[in-house]
Amino acid sequence: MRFDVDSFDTSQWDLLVDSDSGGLKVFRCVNWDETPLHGGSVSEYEVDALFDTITADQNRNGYTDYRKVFFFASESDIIGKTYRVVLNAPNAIITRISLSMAIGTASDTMSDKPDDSSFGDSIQTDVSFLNYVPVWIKRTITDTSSDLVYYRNISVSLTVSK
Amino acid sequence: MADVDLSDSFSGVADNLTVSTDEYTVFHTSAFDVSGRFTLSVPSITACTDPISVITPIRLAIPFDLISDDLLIDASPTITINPELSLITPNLGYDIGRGDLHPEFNCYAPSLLVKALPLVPDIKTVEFGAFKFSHAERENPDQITPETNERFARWGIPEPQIYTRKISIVAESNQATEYYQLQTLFGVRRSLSVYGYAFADAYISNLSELQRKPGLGRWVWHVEFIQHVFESKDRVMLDGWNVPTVITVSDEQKQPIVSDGYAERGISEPIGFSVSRSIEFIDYHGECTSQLENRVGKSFSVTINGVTSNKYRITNISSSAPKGGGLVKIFTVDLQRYQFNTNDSVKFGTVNLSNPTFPNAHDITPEYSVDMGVGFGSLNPIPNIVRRFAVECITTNHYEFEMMVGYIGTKQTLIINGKSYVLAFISLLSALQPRGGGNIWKYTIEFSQKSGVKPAVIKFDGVSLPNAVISSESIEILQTRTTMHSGAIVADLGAIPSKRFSVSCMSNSKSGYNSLYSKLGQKKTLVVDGETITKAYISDLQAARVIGDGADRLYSWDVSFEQETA
Repeated sequence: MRFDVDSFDTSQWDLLVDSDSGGLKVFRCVNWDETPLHGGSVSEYEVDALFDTITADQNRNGYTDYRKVFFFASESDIIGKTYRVVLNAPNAIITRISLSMAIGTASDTMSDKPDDSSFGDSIQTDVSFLNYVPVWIKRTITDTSSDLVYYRNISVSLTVSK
Repeated sequence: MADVDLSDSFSGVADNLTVSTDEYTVFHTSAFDVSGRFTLSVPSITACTDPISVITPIRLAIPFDLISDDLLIDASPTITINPELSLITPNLGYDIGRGDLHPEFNCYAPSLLVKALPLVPDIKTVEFGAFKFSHAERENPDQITPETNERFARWGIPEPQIYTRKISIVAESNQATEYYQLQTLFGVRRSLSVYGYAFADAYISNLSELQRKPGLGRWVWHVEFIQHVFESKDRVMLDGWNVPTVITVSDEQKQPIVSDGYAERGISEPIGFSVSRSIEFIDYHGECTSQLENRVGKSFSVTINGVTSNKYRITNISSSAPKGGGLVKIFTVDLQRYQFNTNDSVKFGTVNLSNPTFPNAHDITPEYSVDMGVGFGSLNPIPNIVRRFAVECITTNHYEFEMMVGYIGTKQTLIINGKSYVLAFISLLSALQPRGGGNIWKYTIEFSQKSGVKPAVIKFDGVSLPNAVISSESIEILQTRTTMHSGAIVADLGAIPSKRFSVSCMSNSKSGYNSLYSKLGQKKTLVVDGETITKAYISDLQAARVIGDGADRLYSWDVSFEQETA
């Protein structure tokens, strides 16, 4: 007996893309694993997936996690810009998930990261050519008593003002 | 293709392309999932092209892209999954038996990628001792047959629980040798484990022929096991030895020992029973032969299921071994004992005789010292009556026999079944021992008692003569006879006759004899049964004779008295 279940692509149409971002790259911190030691200095790896899956338990009870990344200007100085983190999610869940950012230090970790009051929808900072700027990104999902529904590929984007 | 029920739309597929809006430029995009429920429908089960076993369930594998701690299978009422699981780990499967898979089941999963793959069929574990079936399962429900005794059941009497269980197994294997290995286990008892549940002491009762599944390299056979369950088992102890592996204990058979003569007259006789029992048991290690032979000829106690009886003897031992030899031997031992409500008792002096029986009637022989001829005219003569009692005794104590030897020549009180006979003596003693010596003495002893004979009461100068028997009593008539020339005889007679007595004495002590010896040459008063004889003197005293060499010596002497009449 066999049965096959293929994944069903429910994504929206692809959006228009623009490659002009000043050569901004995003690097991981050296302690990338989601532990109390998360943070530290910059590593040599770019960020591939910023956040991991929210588990059913976290979905039910609510959850907050943090990621420390380093913005890097690979082409030129990026001065006077505003940075925002953007969430794309279905309406049914978008109100439960929030993202925010804060400027960190070169070596801070979970134990001495910026206070939650410092986190906001956007940050303003300068990224000098071939330099790193530490940035903490916070994700929060509120609890729910509703039936848990599975959502796939909820996207989070880092944007820079033009 | 499965249907995926989505309650809401998704926002976008994750990729790392930059996306620009009017004011901002995206320089990084990534995605994450939020775990929740989705419904996955399985529209039908299609036949698998690979041949599969009819007894082994299909294993369903559900691999997922991501390792997730909260991969859940929702076992709602519409779902039957064998076994039911509420949590499984990705990339592991669970078993779904044929007919158990329902069209829909709910999954908590982070990924929609679900595939079902036939994996190695799961094995239901069946083991017979160390023998493991590679693939086996119960073919039919076990048949349990209780063994009941209707007589007990009728009265609601609880009896030991005994039942027989038949377990039917169908087995498959890719190796025919597995079947032949099972064949070698005929006749052995092992623990049969079926799906982890053990049935002790099971044995193969039926094994089908080996069959081959058409078109397959696979063999099938059917095997039946039998298990007997007994709530309790017989326990037997012979003379302190625990009899191993008792198979059967026969009922106690009592046969009364009846004498026709008594029964005919309705006389209640001493009740005696012959009691016999048989015990059947198995000897696995060859230890029982010596245990039994050492007890042959002995009287010992037997305890059967907590009840003890004494004085059992082995009357028969038989054994049989299985065809072709082997370590197992089945023994049957017959036991017998006698039970009497009364027993004889004999005591002589201070000794209680062991296990006395009376083979003969008591013998009474009258001895008449007076002729009882018709013309005599004496009335009621007093004869001597000699009683004889013959007793057969069996003892394991040889000192008892030696004590009887020491009593020879003495007179003791004999008590038979409570009746006393004074001044009895041993008139015969013989003994028999088994060949080769042994600690059993079987002896015959005869006691005699003379009644009607009473020792005379004789005193000489106050000294009693012990056990005096007057052997003769005479009167001496003093006379002188003179023959005249004419031939006439003139008799001159003494005016006073003189009495003479001869007496035999017996004593265990020589003091009586010594007392008489000291009175030699003296003229003293002799009293014989109340008759006084004055001026008597000892005319003859024979030396005392010692009889016997036991602890009690017997002295016997004869003494004669004469009388001076002047």
